[in-house]
Amino acid sequence: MKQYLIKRILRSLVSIVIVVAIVMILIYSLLNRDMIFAQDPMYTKVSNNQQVIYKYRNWKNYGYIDYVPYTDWLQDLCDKGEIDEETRRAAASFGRKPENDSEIVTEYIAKFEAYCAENGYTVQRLNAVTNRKKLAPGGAQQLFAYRDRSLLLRLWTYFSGLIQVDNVHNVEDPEFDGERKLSFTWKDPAYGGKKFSPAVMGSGTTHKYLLYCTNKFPFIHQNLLFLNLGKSYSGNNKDQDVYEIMTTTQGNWVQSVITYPTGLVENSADDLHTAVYVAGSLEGNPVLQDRFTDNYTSTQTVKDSFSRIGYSFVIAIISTVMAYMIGLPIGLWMALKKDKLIDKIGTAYIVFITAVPGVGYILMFKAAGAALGLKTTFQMTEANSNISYWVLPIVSLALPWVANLMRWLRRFMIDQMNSDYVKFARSGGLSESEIFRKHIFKNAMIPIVHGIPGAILGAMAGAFITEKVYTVPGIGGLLINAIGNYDNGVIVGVTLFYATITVVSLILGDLLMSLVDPRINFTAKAR
Amino acid sequence: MKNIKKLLALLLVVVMVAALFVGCQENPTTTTGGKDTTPPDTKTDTTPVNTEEQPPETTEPEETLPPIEDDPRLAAEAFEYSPEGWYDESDKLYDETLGEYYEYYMKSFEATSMAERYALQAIAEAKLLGSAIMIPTTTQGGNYAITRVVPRTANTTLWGNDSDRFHNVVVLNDFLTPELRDEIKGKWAELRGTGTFEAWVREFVVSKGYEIQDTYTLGYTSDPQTWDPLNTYRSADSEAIVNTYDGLLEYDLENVQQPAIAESYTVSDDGTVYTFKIRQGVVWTDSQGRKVADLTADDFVAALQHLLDAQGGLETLAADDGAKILNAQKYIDGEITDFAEVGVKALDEYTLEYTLEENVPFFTSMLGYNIFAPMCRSYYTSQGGKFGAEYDAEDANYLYGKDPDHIAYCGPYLVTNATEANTIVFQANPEYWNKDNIALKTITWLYNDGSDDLKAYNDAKAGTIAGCGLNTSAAEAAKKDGLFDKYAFISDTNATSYMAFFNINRKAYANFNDATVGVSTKTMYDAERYNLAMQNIHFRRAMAASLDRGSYNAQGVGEELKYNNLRNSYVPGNFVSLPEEYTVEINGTNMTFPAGTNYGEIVQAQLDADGVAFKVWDPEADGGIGSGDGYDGWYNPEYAKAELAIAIEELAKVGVIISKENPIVMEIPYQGNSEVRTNRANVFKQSFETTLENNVEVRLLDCIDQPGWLYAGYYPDFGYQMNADLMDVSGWGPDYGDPQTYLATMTPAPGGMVKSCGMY
Repeated sequence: MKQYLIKRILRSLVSIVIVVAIVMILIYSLLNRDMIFAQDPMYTKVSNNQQVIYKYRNWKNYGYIDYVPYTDWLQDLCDKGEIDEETRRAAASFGRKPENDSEIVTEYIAKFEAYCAENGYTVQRLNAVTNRKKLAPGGAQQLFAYRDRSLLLRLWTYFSGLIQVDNVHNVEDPEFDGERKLSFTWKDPAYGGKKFSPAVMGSGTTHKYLLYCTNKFPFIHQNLLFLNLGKSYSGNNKDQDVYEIMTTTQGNWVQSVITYPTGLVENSADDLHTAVYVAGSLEGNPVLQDRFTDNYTSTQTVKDSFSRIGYSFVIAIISTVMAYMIGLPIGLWMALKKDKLIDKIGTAYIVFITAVPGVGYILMFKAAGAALGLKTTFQMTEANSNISYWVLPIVSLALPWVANLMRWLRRFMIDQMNSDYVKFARSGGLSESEIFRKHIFKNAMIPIVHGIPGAILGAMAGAFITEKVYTVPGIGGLLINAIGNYDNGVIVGVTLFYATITVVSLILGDLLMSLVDPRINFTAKAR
Repeated sequence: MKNIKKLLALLLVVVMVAALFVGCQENPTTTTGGKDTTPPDTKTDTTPVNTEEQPPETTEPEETLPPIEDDPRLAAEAFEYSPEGWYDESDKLYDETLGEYYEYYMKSFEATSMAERYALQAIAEAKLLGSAIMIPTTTQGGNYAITRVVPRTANTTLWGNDSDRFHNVVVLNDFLTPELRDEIKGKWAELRGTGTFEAWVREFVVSKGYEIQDTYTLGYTSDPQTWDPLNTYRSADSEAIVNTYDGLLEYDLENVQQPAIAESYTVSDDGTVYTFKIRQGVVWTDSQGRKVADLTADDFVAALQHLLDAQGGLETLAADDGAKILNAQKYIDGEITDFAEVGVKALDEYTLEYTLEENVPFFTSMLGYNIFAPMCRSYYTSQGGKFGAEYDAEDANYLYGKDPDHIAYCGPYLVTNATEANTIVFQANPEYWNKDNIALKTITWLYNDGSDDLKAYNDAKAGTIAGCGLNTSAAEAAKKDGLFDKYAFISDTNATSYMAFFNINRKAYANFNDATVGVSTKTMYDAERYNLAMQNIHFRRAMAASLDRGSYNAQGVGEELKYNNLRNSYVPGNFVSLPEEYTVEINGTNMTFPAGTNYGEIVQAQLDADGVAFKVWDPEADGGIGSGDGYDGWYNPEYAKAELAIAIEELAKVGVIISKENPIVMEIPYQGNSEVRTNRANVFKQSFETTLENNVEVRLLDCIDQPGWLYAGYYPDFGYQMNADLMDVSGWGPDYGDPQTYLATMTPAPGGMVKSCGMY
């Protein structure tokens, strides 16, 4: 069993890597890079060389290439102390055309070219675009180097940086003067230092609080491990981590009485447990100085609603439970009353759901709900206190799922009913209900059980159409929107997340099946 | 066997993933409803020269050249072009076609008064339009809508961000009828400039039985990507952020610029130094309304430096493309690294001084723009912000502007909730310096992704949002509900102008990036004749006057609304008006225009004097107020035929014989997978061929999808790469309140719109 599991997990990991690799190849090699500018109004406002530079800069930001402008390279040399500021400035002013370069510029450009050749960069020099001797708009001369990032390197950096652990060497501020250490306290100062609430705090770490307790589920929280799925390059979450986009709480901030490190007690929405080190933030900012004693000043606010994944999960879990509670009994009933009225009604419903596309029946539910006076636009500020905002999304999600369960359970039941062991049991004199309960149902449930972990974990992936139609601030549209925005970081991150969910739910499903069905055994011997 | 299965499985996965990607790829080309989604123009430059195609010297008109010899080779195969002498060729062609325009445009810079400047710009525009190098097509707006918002209770200037300041918008408990709307708009025109309109309108709507709400809920379609007003070019960003700060001066709802953070200002005599007295007692707060700092003059210095450091896309508007602040362009280009050399200084805590490189008469009109938003220096640095070479937005410590909790507020509202694709809530800022004059306590934005045509309508009907535009299906529903007849009105047009450009010097006969797409069917003979014909002004005028623009527009917005958003000029006719009476010489005759004369009226006067039958200003339009929008002033078959006759005669002398049997072949690329685009292309064909009685043959060139189409006539960097005889993709919206913002795109420089005409 153990051996089987290990093998299975290893294989799953390999397949996840393959999926991510395929997606990376698709994004970075096969799709037309120019298309990211198709809808970019900024692209139309820059011209000449500036436009070329704009393209390369964005390709760098979107993760397609490595890109080094000559001036940045010089600045780098200067920062490293290899050249002084004066040389840098002299070397940086290269001519409109190569023949206008001064000696020092020629020398450093040669060095730059050598450096680039060594590192596999392609150097590109754009001569100034002039018109009647004057520089055209955006026509300034440019010199830069770029190289495509290789798939293997990309994969390696992605997976090697996947899990990040906060440690005391994370703060790179040269002015950091505190002792780099972890400390433990029984009484969390964020609650005034009097209440019992253990916490692990760090100094030199990115987060101030690494482990802490609150009165909110799951009560013990951590900032120690961080899943680095990748960053968003474009769109509304630019520069945010995919993990953060999925898990940060949303909504209006809510204030409560809190005690700041300086002892100031205030009605505030700051969540001290999220404090992050920001170099130099205390200096010159009286507001922060009144409240904080060190540079751990950047906090998020306490918000009154769920995170994206939270909304998706709550809605999906409720609808999943509803679906099983409704779908299984009806499926059973249909199997029992095969070809009777209830079976026919059920079949009609199943055919309807299967035949009409998702958007179609969700919009129909929406119209019907609106006629009943249910809310069709999920206004989050209102939804916290008003259940009628939730009804339609949940029902819309549950109803097709119900049909699905009905169909398969009915079908498995009827299959089993005709099998030999049932006939044998019947001939042995068992009552119909006993045969149903103890034999048929148990056997028919095995494939259904296999789907349960998938249903629960899949709830985290969100429901694209439902969330879109009712504007639920969930996770469902994340992948689709990312594809629309060419947000490559999110595409890769979310793919990895979905792939993991799928693989894990398959494994769990198999394990669950072996629990329900003693005939299924994963040990090599038994096989 | 097992391995083969595995391989097959892997293949299947690859195919499925690939299918997923292909399937999910957004098709950015589709145009929906009445809104033209085409990206605005790209700028570029270039200069191919071809002696072969050069028009013969027209200085010796007596000499008639022999007819051009037939050359049946396909231009796509036989035509070769090397761009060596492109600039010289462009210069020559430009002088012939747009020389007069450029002359007046340059003259406008020497104007000594705003009135003179506008007049000269208007004449320049008349020359531009008269050259018929482009046909204005449409603008945005002009659709049916219903709303509970009273018109003219927000600023309506056509540039800058002040029109998104909604703090004094009057929102009613029920929809407003068109009759009342018109009455209110009429009164606005009457009371404009007196400062009494708002008081009047509030009293008026109450007297009509309405109740005024203190919250305003509206739909939105695109979330802000940043909350830093200085680091964005997107209007979706600035529309939200404008609520969080105040500018130096702001346009009020009568479109008069009022002091905001600046109490007053002075201008030096030469117009290059502006000194602002900053209001005392304005405070910065964080998103929870806690005071962060006092606002001082230095916050504007910090702001400008941040703008130039961040280079979010609008920074050149503070420099060469707009305000021309001293040394700002050099700082952007990296020629100057010391920000102290840039022309902005805090003389003391409450005195701010901008120094400009030259007199920029429209400088104050730019102050409502987000590029002149202040930025709290101490707050910025506390959020990891740095200046100059140290600026690094990628730094993990750089939090400024990432969300509404990481900016400082000095404006009327705090953002208390910003949930992507759901809700944005603006609550009145309790520390706002002008809080007593803010009417709305809460502004809520509710997201609408546009996938459900009826969502906005249903929400508006239920009162969830205050109003909405009516697309075709919403209009149907509104008619059924009886709301349409009672409340629907036609929305105002805005300042973005879309144009169709004629390429008068085509050098490319397949797409520059992919020679298998957009392959021309023209022969060398057709190509040469077309260029020569297009270089004749009468031929261009004939073409321009022969397009039925109403039918063209109907393909996108429907038959009923086809004239509403037609634009007849490049600069909207009511964009500016004369501040005082001015007398200008038009073709040797002195003409006096009274104060308040619209820009478009002067353009029209010049066109009339030149004998060009384009009607760019209609004094009867827009309910008698006069407008350059909402009618078709170019389509004129009679005129087109008359001009064609002249052209045929003139062109015969240069060897181009035009007849029905031997027509000029024009080729228009279009996007085959877009219904609207395809239909529009067919309107071009139909219109040109019918009106000009088949002396022109239009061939439609299917570029299959949007990329193919855009690569034909939008992405090219140089005029000689333009693989189109006519391209109707480009549009231009104003960056500031001066016609220069439009006219500058047509100057004879690389990087302008003239690229689309086959020059530079």
